[in-house]
Amino acid sequence: MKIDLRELIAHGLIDEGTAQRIQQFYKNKSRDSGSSRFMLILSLIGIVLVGLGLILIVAYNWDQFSKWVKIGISFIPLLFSQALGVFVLRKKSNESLWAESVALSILFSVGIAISLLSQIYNIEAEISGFIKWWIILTMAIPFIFDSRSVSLALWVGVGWYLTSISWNMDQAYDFFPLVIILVLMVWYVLQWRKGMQHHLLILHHWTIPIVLTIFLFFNSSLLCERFVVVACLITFIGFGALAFGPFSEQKFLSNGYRTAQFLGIWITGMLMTFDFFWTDSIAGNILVCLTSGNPLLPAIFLIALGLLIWYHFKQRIPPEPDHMTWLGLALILVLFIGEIHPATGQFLSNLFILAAAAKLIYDGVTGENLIVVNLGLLALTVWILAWFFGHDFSFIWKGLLFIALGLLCFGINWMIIKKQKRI
Amino acid sequence: MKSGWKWILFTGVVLFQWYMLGSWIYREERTISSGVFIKIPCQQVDPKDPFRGTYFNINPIPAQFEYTDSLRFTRGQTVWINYEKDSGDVYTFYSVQPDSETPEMPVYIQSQIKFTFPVYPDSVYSATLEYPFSNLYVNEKAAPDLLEQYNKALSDTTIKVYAGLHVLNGKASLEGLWIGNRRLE
Repeated sequence: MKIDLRELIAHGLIDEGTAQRIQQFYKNKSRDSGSSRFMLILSLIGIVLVGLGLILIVAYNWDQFSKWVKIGISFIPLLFSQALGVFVLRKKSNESLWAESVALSILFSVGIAISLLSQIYNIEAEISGFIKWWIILTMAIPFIFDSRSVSLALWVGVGWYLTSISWNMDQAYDFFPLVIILVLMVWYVLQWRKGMQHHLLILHHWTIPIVLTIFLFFNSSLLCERFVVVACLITFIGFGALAFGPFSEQKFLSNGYRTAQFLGIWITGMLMTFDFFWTDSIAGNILVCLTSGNPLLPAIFLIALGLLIWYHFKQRIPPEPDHMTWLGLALILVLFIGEIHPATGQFLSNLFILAAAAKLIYDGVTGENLIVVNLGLLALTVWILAWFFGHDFSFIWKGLLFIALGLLCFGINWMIIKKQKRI
Repeated sequence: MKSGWKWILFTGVVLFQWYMLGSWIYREERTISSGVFIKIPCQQVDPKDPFRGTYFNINPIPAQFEYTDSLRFTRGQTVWINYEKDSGDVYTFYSVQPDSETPEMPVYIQSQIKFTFPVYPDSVYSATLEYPFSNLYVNEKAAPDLLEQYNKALSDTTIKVYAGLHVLNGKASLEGLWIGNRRLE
């Protein structure tokens, strides 16, 4: 809140004493918020270290205790942290330092209890089972204590779980990740109303796209091979809708969705330029996917795509500087064309990737934005590298092209810097 | 969210946490106190778990079995592993059957099929078993010595290694490891 106090005094709206009190109030407020943030960070680190330390010391060295003493010890941290939870809900429910600390301590005490019980009885041998129960028993904690740190830990836990289980779907579908992701997503979206700038929430903006991408691959065996690529592109376009919709006001470092969208669509597009992607193609495979097997997931993805296009055309997203959404949509179209004629698909993939890189360079040059220019140059270099090493050209041509690329990179940067200095 | 809902949710979470953890203890204690104690032959070892410390990897025999009807077993299927009495409290593998059937023997363990693959196409198939117990946790300091004893016993073909279990209605609770008649501790 920026107010010119002198102007208010001059207009007789407030007197000198009131102005001083207002100044003092905001000085104290900024000092308090700075110190409480520092305290919060220290407390969180402290609780994490104490939690891990307790697990390591007790779990590794308690042979001399009887079984029931061990069970008692397992429950002491949980009892203590739950009692602290009652205290916080009664007396300190509005203080984030207390709420975050107690939420984390409950999270770790549940982890300690599961670890020690499974050690005492030799149960739950797989790490995935351990993580699963840890998440189930603590998934409501973010809702109760408004805890961003526990929510973040749970998202990391879901990512860990997804990477520690089999992705082969010969067995019954594991609904656990889906349910947890939906529950955690509700809490996350509710937090948007309170602002997106909190440090721990910013970490969510990076963690969630990563976990969702892993989740997509976890589900990939439910889809036909070619449709996985379509699903990837739709997911990355969805990240773009978030990046340029609700997150459009966020700075680059607070907007993980933007990076996920750019990298995701770019890497998928690059893969589509290679020979191997098209040589194994079976014409009409995607159409078979849509009409046979499991039509539910392709239908969900295609409906999502429809909604994303509608969202885009409603002009709710400000114009994008990198046009990755359009590249993603074009690549989906290319996939369908390539199913009928693979050579055309590969040619169009190369064309669109090259056009997107050229557009980035053009946008960067006209907007005098060095980051965008160099991003475009980097994209172009990666494409040329991949293309040249995949094809048999003489070393003279390869050498000449690299020299040309180097000179282009140097020349464009020099031109923009010179332009900026002149201004 | 209003504070009243938080109280209700918190109470629910606390009760749920105690119920779940307590039910694990109850299930294990019931299996230990009411179940049959058996010893089954097993094979080899492994390292550490980041949370639960040093453990032995228990690999009961058999790790896999063969069958002829390709439709009888699939990956991830829950099955009964039946055991027959050998001598004393030592039991040996008898058969595997789907858990939809009544167990053939009084002592059986609920388990899962890990993988299935053909041995001779269209005639003999093989399935690997995933036992519900695979880790025996031991004290960090005692581990190297126990590991040495265990490995020595496994390499000596004259000594048999057994996993001691309490078994009740298909549920198994791992008690420890035995080298011959001596418990490893």
